[in-house]
Amino acid sequence: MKFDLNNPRTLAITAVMTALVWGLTMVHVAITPAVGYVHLGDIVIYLASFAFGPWVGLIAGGLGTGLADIVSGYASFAPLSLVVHGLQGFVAGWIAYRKPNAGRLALGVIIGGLILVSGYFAGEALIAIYGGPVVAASEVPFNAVQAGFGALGAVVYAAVARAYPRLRQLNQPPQI
Amino acid sequence: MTQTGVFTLNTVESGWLYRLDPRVKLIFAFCWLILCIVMSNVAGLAVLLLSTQVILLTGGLPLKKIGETWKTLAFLILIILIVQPLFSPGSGPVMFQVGTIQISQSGVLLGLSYGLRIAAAAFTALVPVLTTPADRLVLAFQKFGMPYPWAMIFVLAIHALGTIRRLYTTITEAQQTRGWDTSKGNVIKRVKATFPTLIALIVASLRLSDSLSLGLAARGFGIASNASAPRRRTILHDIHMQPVDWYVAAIIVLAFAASIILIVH
Repeated sequence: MKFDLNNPRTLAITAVMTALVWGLTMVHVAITPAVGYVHLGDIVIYLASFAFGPWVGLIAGGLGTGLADIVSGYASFAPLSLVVHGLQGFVAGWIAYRKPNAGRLALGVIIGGLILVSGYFAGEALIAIYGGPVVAASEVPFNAVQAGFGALGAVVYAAVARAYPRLRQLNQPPQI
Repeated sequence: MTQTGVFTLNTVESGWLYRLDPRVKLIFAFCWLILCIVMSNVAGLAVLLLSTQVILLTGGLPLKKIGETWKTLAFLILIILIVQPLFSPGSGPVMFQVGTIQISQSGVLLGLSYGLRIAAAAFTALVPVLTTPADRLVLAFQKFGMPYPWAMIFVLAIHALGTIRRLYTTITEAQQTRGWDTSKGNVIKRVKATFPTLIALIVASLRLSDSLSLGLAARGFGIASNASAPRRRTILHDIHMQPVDWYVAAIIVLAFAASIILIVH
């Protein structure tokens, strides 16, 4: 399926997935003892990637979390979230979109989780604005917890696909 | 949320900052964020942070909103101020020592600079976001060369967020009447309790996407990009740079250039 934002269906599903990621990133399930929070945004990033492909995952993941960071007061993290969650969504979709069987879904969330943890660590360690390697290292366990919660995205994808069988047709051109 | 029920990001709807061309605010955000990254001097970062506070306060952003942002940032900054001097003591004179733990002046200054940098960057990003209606912000992005569909994603996402919020409220209220409660138990129990609501919210949002795509198709979205019949998109309420916008843009660029020269030397 070619990704074309001039297709109204593709544009609509990309925008709605972005809004869902944005909204659920702002739903804080628990505040971690360090500087972050556990949120539900990653679950929808995986859902968008598995159901609609890597490009929707990239945009919804990157833009959704970046916008949530900006309006939540974590604006300095927005560029990092944009890149890390965007990449997470893209790679997860690239792995599991075409054949969303249990093995590929699991691989998608594992690789996506690794991108999340290593991406935030690398970004925070290398870019001075985030506090350097010391702060980056202290964040790793909490990003790992976040990656663990995100992994529920595979379960949610399966549940939504069962509850809404038209799921994977939403970004396809109408059949005439 | 405005009185019309349409979700918007901007909380400021009057004043000089609201009237300023959104392109100028984007230039400001870009320049100040670059300065936040390249500047390491505590005094310089404090001036950057102070400038954002002055701009937001004189621009009409409510004190409550500034306070909320500070509240979010406070925890983050506190952790940095504690962790940085402890684990990265630096080579400067030791301020005090407890056992093997040393707190040096350079470690404290480093932590302070990281804290100031994060706060300055956060408030800088809020300047265009909280003082500009989404449609004008999108026009500014378009004027800087962003393709129209990308700008549309931004606008549609903002509108969809408002609808999703209302859906979430409706679904949670319906669940609460059936005894649903996520405030009790450990994190796992709370996440598990959130699942039925989450699935219902996602399915309702997918239906929203379906009707949204129909609306877009009905209004001819995508026709302008059709290679066989290209059309030029028209704009009803365009944005125009006024003389004052040019002056402010010039001041921002000059201040940015002067800061870069000071940093280099």
